[in-house]
Amino acid sequence: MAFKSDNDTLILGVLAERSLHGYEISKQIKLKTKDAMTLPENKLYPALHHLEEQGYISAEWIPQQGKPDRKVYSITKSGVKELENQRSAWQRFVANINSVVLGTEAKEGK
Amino acid sequence: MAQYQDWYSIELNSYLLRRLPDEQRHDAVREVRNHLSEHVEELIGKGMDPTMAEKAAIRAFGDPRKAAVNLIPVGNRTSRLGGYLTTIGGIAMAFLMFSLVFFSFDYMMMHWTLGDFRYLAGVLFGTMAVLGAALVFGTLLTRKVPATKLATAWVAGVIVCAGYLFFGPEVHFANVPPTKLASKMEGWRTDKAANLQLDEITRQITKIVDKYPRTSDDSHRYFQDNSDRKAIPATEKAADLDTLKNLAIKATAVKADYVAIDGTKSAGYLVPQDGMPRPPTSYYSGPQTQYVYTETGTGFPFAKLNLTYTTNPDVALQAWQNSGYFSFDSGIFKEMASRQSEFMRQAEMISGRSRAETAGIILGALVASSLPILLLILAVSWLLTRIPVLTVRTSFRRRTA
Repeated sequence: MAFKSDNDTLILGVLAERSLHGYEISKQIKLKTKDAMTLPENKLYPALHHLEEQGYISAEWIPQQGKPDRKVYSITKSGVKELENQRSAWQRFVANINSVVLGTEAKEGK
Repeated sequence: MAQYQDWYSIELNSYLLRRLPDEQRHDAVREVRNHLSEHVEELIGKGMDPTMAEKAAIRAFGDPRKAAVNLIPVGNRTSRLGGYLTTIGGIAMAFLMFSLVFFSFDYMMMHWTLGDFRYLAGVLFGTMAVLGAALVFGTLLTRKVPATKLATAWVAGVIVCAGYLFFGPEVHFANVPPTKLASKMEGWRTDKAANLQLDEITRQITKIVDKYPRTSDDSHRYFQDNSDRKAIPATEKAADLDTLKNLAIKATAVKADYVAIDGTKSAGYLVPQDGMPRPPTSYYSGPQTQYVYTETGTGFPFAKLNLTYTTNPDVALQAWQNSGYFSFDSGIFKEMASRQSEFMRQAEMISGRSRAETAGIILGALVASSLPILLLILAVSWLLTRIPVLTVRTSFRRRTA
């Protein structure tokens, strides 16, 4: 399976650890990639809606004390499976690029 | 406090209005509002002035108009247009149903000539092709089979057609009231039989005429030898002319109306006139030309024959020879007989039936013929939705650059 989309995979990656709301997802990506990757708002929500539509994530409005409700996203079973596929695809992608850039031999991914 | 966020939310909501279903729109605005307040809270936590923090958070989210566009799922954006297109396609289908009834009525009832019908049918189906394209593109954009729209359009078309058939102008077949149809049909049957006989006679005439040169500006040249052909003996020529005369007499006996406009039956020749390449006009002038037959179609549908009657065999033979589109070669009588068969079938269908029965038969035929079309469109639509959609791929390299 080819590696196809960075934003979707990044979102699935952070949601695999725990359920998060939109702003927190954006923050986590920035934090985990040490500011190397940012997911701007204009890309974040379309990507979330797209993933939700595909059934890879689910959303729920969680009430908060003294604050407005938050829409919290969680990864679904099919989302976990998709993330695994994307991880494999990413490993193959990196290995292939490395074989050119670093001169390392590319190993056939699973 | 938070007034900028409120304004932003209101503006965002206005851009999303009618572009997203209410529930989705409320959720989207709430989520953005939530996002902004989280961001503001964080900036304030970092020591920023609340108003400045609000402005910074809003700036980060971007122009509300663009934000609204991004919040509308891509599917929704394209499906709006696709929805319009499939609606147009659905309406077109209802239009087609209704048009078919009108066209078939006018065709059957002979309000128009065949030429009119063909022209209008061409226009109709040309229009339908354009509207059908709308349906195809609509289906591709929406990625959904427009089953409900098409079924609704089909049902609407059937209802409108049924209303017209049962309650619209009463059915008259070829300007003949239903009560007089049975007696009129006998005459039409005779006409059909006559056309078949004429077809056979003209076939024999053609066989003889084809032996002679096809073009000439000399009325007697056809009796001269043609260098390209085998010389025809004088006795054979005389025999041919005699046969032609006899065939012409037979033709007049078969369908005297063609040669006796004034009621007098007399032997003669039918030669093509309008609508076909003519021999020189002089052949039609003078005392040789007795009658001109120009059937207008009022007596019988599609019997529009523009023929000249002449008693002079030379003129007849020359006219037949000179017409590149030889009327008797064209199988026009056979064609007429074939159309008459269809005409008779329709007349028999209506004859002796009540209006409700007739309307029921026509409606039943319409439903039976259009239902497969509907199913075909649905099948094609389903296949269209199976076409894979191209996705735009992004790379980490570009992102991180």
